[in-house]
Amino acid sequence: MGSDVWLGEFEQLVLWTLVRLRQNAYGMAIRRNLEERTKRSVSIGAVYATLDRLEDKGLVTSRPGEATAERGGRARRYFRIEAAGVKALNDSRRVLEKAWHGLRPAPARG
Amino acid sequence: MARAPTRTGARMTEREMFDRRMTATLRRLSTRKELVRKWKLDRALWSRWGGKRQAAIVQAIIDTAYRSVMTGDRASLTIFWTLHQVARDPLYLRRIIGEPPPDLPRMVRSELRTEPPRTAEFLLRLLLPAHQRQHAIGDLVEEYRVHVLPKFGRARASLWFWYQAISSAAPALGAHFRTVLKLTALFKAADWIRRIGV
Repeated sequence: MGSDVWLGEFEQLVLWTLVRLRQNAYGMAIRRNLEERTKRSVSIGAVYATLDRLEDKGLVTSRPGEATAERGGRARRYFRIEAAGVKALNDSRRVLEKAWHGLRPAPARG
Repeated sequence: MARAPTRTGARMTEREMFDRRMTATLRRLSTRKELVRKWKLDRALWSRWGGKRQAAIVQAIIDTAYRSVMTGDRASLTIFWTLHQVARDPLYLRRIIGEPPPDLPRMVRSELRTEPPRTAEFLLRLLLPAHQRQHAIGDLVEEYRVHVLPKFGRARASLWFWYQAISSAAPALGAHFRTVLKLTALFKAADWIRRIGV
């Protein structure tokens, strides 16, 4: 019972962040959350490129938010994970768990 | 005998009184050595004031003020007046950050500015896809103002913004470059076909 959509590692991380942030998922919050949890540098360009791709696949939706003074009057864009996104995320997890089942990687001898 | 009216007491504005007092204080510091000693003393007095960013701004204000005194610039009084306002009302600095009063010298105004580097912002505007531009730049500006600038100060925050701009624009730049390469290859092929007369 496989999903139609196969997610890359970064796509999974972004979807997982959307689940975590719920209503407050917009560019800056997603980028900061990803950096804090993965301990690696994430650019805002990469986040938006991935979110656009996920939106094209129908896994997330976005809506414009409010413009604030700190942002120089620019509007936020809030993202939300859709049912298809949750399913794709769960399917990816199941596939990975299956692949890892009974496997303990060790350095090759000889 | 009636004395000639002088501009003292209630007739003088608070600013004028401050200017007079400050001029007298500075005049008393006759040698350069004494002036530098007062400069260091003021720096030490203000070193633990406010947060890291606010303390850095105040130190910059003090430095600019004393440099102006040394060069005989009258703008120093305006800068000392700003410092006086900060001492009197701790929220004053917070109020003028981002919107410094127009009579402040350029050096102090630039310390109080909260705009990210303009060239980096222009680079993002130029290279990011149109539908992402407004939101992505807004996100970076918000993070710069709310999180990075108060924590790291202006110099490091500017570096941070440049790093973010370059790392965000690089993939877009690569895509533009690939398009140019493809078009060039296409024109070369067309030219080659034309030459051999196919």
